[in-house]
Amino acid sequence: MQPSIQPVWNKGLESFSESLTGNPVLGWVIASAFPLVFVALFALVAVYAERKISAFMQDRLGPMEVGKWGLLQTIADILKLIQKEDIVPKAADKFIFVIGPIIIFVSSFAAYAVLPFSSAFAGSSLNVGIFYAISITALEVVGILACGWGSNNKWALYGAVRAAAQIVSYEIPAGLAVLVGVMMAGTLDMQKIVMAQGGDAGILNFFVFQSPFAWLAFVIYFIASLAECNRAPFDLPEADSELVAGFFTEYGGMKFAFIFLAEYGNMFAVSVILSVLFLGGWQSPFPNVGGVMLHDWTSGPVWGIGWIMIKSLSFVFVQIWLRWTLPRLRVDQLMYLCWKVLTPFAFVAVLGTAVWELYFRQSSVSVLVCWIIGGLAVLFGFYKMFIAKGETPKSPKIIIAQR
Amino acid sequence: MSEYFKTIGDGVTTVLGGMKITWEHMINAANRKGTAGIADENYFNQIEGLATLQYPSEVIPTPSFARYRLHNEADDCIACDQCARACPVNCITIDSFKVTPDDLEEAGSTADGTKKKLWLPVFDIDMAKCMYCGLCTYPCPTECITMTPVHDFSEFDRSNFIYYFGNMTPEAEAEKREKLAKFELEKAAEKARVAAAPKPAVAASTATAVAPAAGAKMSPMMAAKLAAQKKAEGAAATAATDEVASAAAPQPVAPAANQAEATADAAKDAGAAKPLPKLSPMMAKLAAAKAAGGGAAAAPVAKVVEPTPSEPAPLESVPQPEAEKTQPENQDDDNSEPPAASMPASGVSTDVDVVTKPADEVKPAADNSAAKTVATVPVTSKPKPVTLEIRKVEPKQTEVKMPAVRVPEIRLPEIKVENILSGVTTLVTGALYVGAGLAMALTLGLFKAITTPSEPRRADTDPTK
Repeated sequence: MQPSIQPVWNKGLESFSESLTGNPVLGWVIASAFPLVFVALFALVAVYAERKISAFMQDRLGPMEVGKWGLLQTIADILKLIQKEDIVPKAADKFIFVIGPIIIFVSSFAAYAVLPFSSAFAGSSLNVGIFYAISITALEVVGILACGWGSNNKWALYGAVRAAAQIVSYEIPAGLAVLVGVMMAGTLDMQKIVMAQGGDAGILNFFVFQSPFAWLAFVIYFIASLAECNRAPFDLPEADSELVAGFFTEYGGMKFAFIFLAEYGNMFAVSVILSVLFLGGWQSPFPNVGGVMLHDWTSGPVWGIGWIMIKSLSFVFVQIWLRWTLPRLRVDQLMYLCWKVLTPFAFVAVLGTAVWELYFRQSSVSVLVCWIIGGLAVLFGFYKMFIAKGETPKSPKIIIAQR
Repeated sequence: MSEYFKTIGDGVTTVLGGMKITWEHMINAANRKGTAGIADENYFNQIEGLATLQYPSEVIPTPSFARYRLHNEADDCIACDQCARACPVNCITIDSFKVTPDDLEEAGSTADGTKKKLWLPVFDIDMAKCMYCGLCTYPCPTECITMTPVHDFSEFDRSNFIYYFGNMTPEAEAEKREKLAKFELEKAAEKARVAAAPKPAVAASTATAVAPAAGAKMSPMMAAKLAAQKKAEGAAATAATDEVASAAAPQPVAPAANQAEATADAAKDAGAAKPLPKLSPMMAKLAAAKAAGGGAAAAPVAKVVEPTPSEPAPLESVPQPEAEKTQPENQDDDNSEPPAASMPASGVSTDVDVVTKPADEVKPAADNSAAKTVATVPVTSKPKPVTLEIRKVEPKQTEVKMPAVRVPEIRLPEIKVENILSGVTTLVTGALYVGAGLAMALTLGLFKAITTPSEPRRADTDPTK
């Protein structure tokens, strides 16, 4: 064991995390503390952002009292949660009740071990990184079942059973969509998947722009990851309006805080996985055009952190956006979407990617076609979202004027 | 199959449409909805922007005619009692007593120049009873009682809804009351001396004249009203009036009252119910009429009851207290005219004339039927020995509550040992959770150390090539 740790961050791939994890125990603690602190801070900010964004989308103001614009609201919430009494219901199975949130949080946080936050930092450069991340995150369902069963509460049990059905179902389209990214990169190592999307073309090297099937997989994984995080519109396990709070009905204080922390940690983890698989992770989106070496100028370990944060946080924003847009799915709709829509399309994406990788990807013409298709898809989305006149009733102004 | 794809297409487009709507609302969050009221033409067009009104710090302005919390500007109040009379729910309690002539300067005048002739030790408004009709503000001659726009003044204790507008300290009040009593005593003595010395022959007739006058003064409705007031206010004001009355005419009242009692007994014998002191003026009047009807002299008594001064009071809100209180002076005093007569409002002063006249007219009729008129004089109007009763006023009653918007109370949680203990245990639990997370990460590190290939990894290795 070396007594001193000298972190280096500019000596090539994963030099920072290597220099830490090369020192057993102490280095490992430091290396794992980074994502832990990050998750805690991210949860603080994300809860505030979620409340504010939801408020704005509903023409409200959101938290305004604690601090300027309510900025200290989540800190006050955390202080409250810390002070709360640690209650275990009499009828609960105490061991399972206590171990549940631990399993949920640990399985959510353990995924951070392989996430490449920068070219110089990835907690563990596993050669089966993405496989590990997917599987360890899926372990969460064990914790949720423990919570629901241990609570000895019908709402909690309903929530837990729904969560089990939902998460296990959505593992399949999610896994197939991940497989698309893995097939394009030719590796399970997340750091290598990111590196496979680098190059002078910048954003056009990202996998979504390299294959029309990557678009499909990208969308499928995003939807499936929503379901795996129990986020709306797939929040059946929580289902406030039906099940009180679902599987964590009986939890309060720090146990509740950890379930909450796990949820937000999970949100960010799947966003990072999404951006690593399809949007180039920490790669800069700028291309090198002629003598203007924008890509090179905006690349590097510190730039990388910025890029992956921007990409992941924008996905987190879309998750929040969707949550406050869409109503909750019915159980049968949930299963229909998973088994009859997402899974067949995921198979199509996998097969299509296989063909594309074998015969078309090397030809620049086909990539150009792919860009055009991708560009058209983006334009269609923007058109639908920002330009098209929807059939939804626009404003009460017109109705009132007619009367 | 086409249905299947149509469903998917619908799903995609509707999701995008919904996202568009929420996005627009989020962008519009930079604006606030307008403040146009329901009466405004633009009211229904204010659809974009935040709808929240941060209430305690932002309020929609109340209309200028809004009727909310009452306020009395005590410095402008002449204690005329008209607001208390106008109040349908009796939420205003006023106690006042005369200013002695040498204190008129000290009492000063209101903002509009009216001289104040009554001290105002008690002016309480019970806003818990108030029904916000605003009727009290209309008769006010000096416009000192107003309805303010303050509408948010909820309390945890109902007694906090009593607002105290009296403007005298207990000490000042006691001093002035004592002074007034002394003054009245001196005046009575002076009057007795004047009445006895120069015209002994007329003295007897004067005495008899005063007797029915006093009886008329204590006419049934007035007496009942006095009694009701007494019951409500704790006898303070009435005691003062009684004392004034007995000080002014100590001898004649007693026989009159005795006579009244005697006739009351007679009326009771005749089968009529004796009106209780609790009865309201109208009830007292009705009872008196009934008693008269039951008795032998039905018609004349009813006629006599009609012109009694207090009759129009419940209908027209005549400033009766002034008439009552100043009547002893009206009979035989000359140096101070009743304050009600000096009020600036013309309508009020004519009312006073109307009121005081019948009282004088009763005098001649007193010989034959005034005795029956006063049949309903309650026992409480018996003359009391001349004693000074100083009203005890709680110190808080003198403080005037300012109608300011109150800052909402912030309640901090109680600090208990159990709470601290549970906080510590949860912190330890939290530390355990964090430790579990770290342990998981550590095992990962070990895992990585076992599984990672030993070859060096470099940034420029491109696995795709």
